[in-house]
Amino acid sequence: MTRIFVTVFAWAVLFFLVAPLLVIFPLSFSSGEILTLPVPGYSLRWYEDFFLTERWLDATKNSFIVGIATMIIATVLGTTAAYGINLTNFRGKTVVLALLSLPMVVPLIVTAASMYLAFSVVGLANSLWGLIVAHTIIATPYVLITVLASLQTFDPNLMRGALSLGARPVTAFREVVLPLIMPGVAAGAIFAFATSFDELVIAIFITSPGEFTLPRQMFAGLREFISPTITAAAVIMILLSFILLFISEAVRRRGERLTAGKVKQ
Amino acid sequence: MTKHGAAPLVVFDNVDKVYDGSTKVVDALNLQIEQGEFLTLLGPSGSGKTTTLMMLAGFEAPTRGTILFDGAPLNNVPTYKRDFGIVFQNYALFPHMTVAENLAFPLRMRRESAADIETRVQRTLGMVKLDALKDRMPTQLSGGQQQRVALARALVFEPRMVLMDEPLGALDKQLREHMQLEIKRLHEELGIAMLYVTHDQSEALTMSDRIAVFDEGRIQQIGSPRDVYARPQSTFVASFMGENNRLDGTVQTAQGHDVSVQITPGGPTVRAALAGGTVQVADTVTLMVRPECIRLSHEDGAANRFDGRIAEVVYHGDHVRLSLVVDGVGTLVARHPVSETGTEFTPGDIVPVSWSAQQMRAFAGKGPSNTSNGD
Amino acid sequence: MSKKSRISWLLIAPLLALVVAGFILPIGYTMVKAVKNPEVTAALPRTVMVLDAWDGQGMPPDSAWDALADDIEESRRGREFGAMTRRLNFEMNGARSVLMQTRRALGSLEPPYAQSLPVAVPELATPEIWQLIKNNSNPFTASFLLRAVDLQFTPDGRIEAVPPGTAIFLDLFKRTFWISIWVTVICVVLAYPTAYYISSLSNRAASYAMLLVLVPFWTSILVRTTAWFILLQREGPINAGLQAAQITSEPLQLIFTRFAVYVAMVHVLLPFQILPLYSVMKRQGTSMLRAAASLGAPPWRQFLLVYLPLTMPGVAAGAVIVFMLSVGFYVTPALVGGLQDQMISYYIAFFTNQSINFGMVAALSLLLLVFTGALILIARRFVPGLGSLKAG
Repeated sequence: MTRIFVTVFAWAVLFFLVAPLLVIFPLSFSSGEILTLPVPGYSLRWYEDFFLTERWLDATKNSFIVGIATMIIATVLGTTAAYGINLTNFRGKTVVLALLSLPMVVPLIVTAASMYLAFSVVGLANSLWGLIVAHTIIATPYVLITVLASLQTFDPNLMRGALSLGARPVTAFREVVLPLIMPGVAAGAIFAFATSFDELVIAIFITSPGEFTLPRQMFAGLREFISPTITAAAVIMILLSFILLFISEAVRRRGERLTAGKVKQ
Repeated sequence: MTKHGAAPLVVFDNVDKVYDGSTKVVDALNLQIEQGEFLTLLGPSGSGKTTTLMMLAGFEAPTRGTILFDGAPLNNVPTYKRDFGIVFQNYALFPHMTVAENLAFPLRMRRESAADIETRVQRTLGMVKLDALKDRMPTQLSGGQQQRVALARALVFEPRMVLMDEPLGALDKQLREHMQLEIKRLHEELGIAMLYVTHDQSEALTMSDRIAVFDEGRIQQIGSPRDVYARPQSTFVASFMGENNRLDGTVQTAQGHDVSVQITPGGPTVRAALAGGTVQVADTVTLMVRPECIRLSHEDGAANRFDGRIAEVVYHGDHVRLSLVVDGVGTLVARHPVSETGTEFTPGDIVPVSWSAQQMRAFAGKGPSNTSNGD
Repeated sequence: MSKKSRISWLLIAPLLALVVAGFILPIGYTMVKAVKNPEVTAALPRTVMVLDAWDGQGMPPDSAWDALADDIEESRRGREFGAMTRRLNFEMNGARSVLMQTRRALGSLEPPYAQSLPVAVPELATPEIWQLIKNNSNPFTASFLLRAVDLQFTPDGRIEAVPPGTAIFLDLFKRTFWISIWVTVICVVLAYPTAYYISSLSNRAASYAMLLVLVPFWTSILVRTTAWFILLQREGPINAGLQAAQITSEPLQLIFTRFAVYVAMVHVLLPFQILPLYSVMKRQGTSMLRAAASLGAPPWRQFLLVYLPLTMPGVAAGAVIVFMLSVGFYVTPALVGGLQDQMISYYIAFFTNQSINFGMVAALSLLLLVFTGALILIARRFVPGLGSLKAG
């Protein structure tokens, strides 16, 4: 009895989680202009609109520019910092770690407003550069966490081994450390990209129409007039999230295999 | 001390290593490693032997003092330029590279040609009998095979010296003994100097040209295995190098190295050889004699002859161990080869017991009170 | 410092520099803005100096009129004048129009202004506006922080509650707190049985079921809010369905209600509660329940005395994350809620983008930050190893 109740309840919750996302799919293929079900007929007109309107294309392009730039910078800075943190037990380590993960716990609205106020002073507001800086700051903690986690299973003797065999520190890092912590680095990079690609609050504060990202353009669309093109944009974003989820799961599995196959002592 | 007469390969000149500003791990170390020799640093954990190796490898910097290699100071030479082959306790094989790629790594770092790398990897793999496994990943190898790969990787680039940090610690007893001989053979074949760190005294005795016994950051004694084993200069070395019977007593007479000692007041005196320093009559000394030096007969040359009562007999296959109670002296453990004894020992029997004065070492003062056991 | 820790610092330095310059400093800059009060001194330096000597009783000396006229004349073209009038209007409704009027009048007036100005602008003949200028000549002020908790300064410098009609912020904090509490409670209630059910499935089935949690988790918050925005429209699929099934005859007002805020926020935040619960339950397994059963405990006691305490860390970790994220939520309530359903974030955005008042932005941010900081400190005592939080 309890078992049946729990089962029904759980499936109802899972349905609640997924159904709203599924509803968007038929709506995006509607031939009508009113967002309701059942749809009057199917067409690709809203996708056509998305791919033929400059606003949407620019926004998509901006999202990829900012997302990829954020991913690269956050991954490089996060990985080097994680390696530095892992290297020694220097004084102030916990303080540094807390400071670097602060962007994760400060409410995003506070971060966004503060960055808007401060970036305006130095001319970084209303520029893609400002958004890249902001996204890098909120995305790096995730890289830091995933890379630190994979460094924890890394045997420091491997680095020593590489040095003793004649590798310079940078070469040793590239040839020995990096391949072995790659799952963590990749997971962090994907998360950094996703964070930037999905981020809206900061984008609301520090972008003007020329620099709108995809979420920012959708937000503008929702507030001004709801064109069904938004559903096409939403479907595109859902598919992208799905791809990112798929990659991150694949990376995680690979990471688990690597850890499982650690050299026995 | 120079065995080969040439200039020493490595010189530790008054080297200190202090951690956290207060813990002195290595204390005023002076040590020379000769060309081509097999030197073992032996000691309990925390004695400073591994730190010494780490400083030579360049993973730790000396707090004070200099390390010279071929007469040139090493202090500012980074590890990757030192050209030492290092074998780690956990092997540190690169898990994402095959056996052949692991061996090729140091050659690639030295920008050798592909053909050169190929032949040298092949040759080295042959040397450690791993030709068949070159394309395996390290995770697919047994512990012993991994150990050989680690050894081969440390040798393939013809380093100026090989450093090994407890390289056999993770292997089982049989494999360990086999690898000891294997390493010894490679040392003799290649003639390269090797520095070997271990806490296992039998390993040190089997393999080394010389042994440096470490304790509390200092070298307690350095010398050939025979020398260190047979003529320990301190109670620490004596008890760390194999098993010992240990007695405390009072000096009755002292003439040069020759001392006679009374264990219990009014009891018999035993004759022993002073290990170093001087003692006066009435000083307290510690006496040590190895179980295999105690004979179950009254040997002609033996200065110490007593009768002992057998308290316990333990059979060990090739030998028996007997606990013998000698009145006024104490309980002594004797180790007796089985093949020589047709006789059965029974607890309670009285047997003749003797040992020579040379084999009983007398150490001034009361040594550390740890029991005599290094086996 | 040893060579190795120097290398550590060197590797951390670039990120540390970025975070300090791009995050810590902006936050600090904003926090300082919550108490900064530069506008009046910048626009009216002479007036401020004259009023400094005035005791604030009765009317100021005649020289103050001339100083004011000079200052306004001087700042005619700069941005200081506008900033100053906005600043004073925030403290006293109508101050802005009085000063604008003064500026206009000054074009045709002759000194001595102590005679001509009160005639042209009668409001200047009362002490209030002079007291206001004097009170705001200090470079720092507590008035934004006071206003953020519905308090204000009276012209003579006392602190009083703002008139009931304009008091909004205490309600706002209460509302933010209660909406967050309810969202958290609903998430826990929905997540617990769901996570339990998934953890009881075989590994394979569980990983498929978790996909149904992970896909929404990875989908952007905006997209999920958009889905509800569309679903809840008057002509949207839900109303259409209800009418088609003849449950309702008229479309219901679903969008822009508190109900919409709860539904959408719970939908967005639910995965944050399910994920930690699932991982705790998965690790726990059912062996404890079996042990309890074998010791003779009836099912409800097994649950209350054994399973619930053991899975409490998962409940706590998820609840802390959900609560902290909802306290700072902006996008979802802004899109699907009405004006009565907005939270602190909405007003931070409002003061930044519409009614430009950075002092209030800073004051509300400061309070929200202190509130979250206190929460984290409390949570850290009870939830060890508080996991990673995906910002919302």
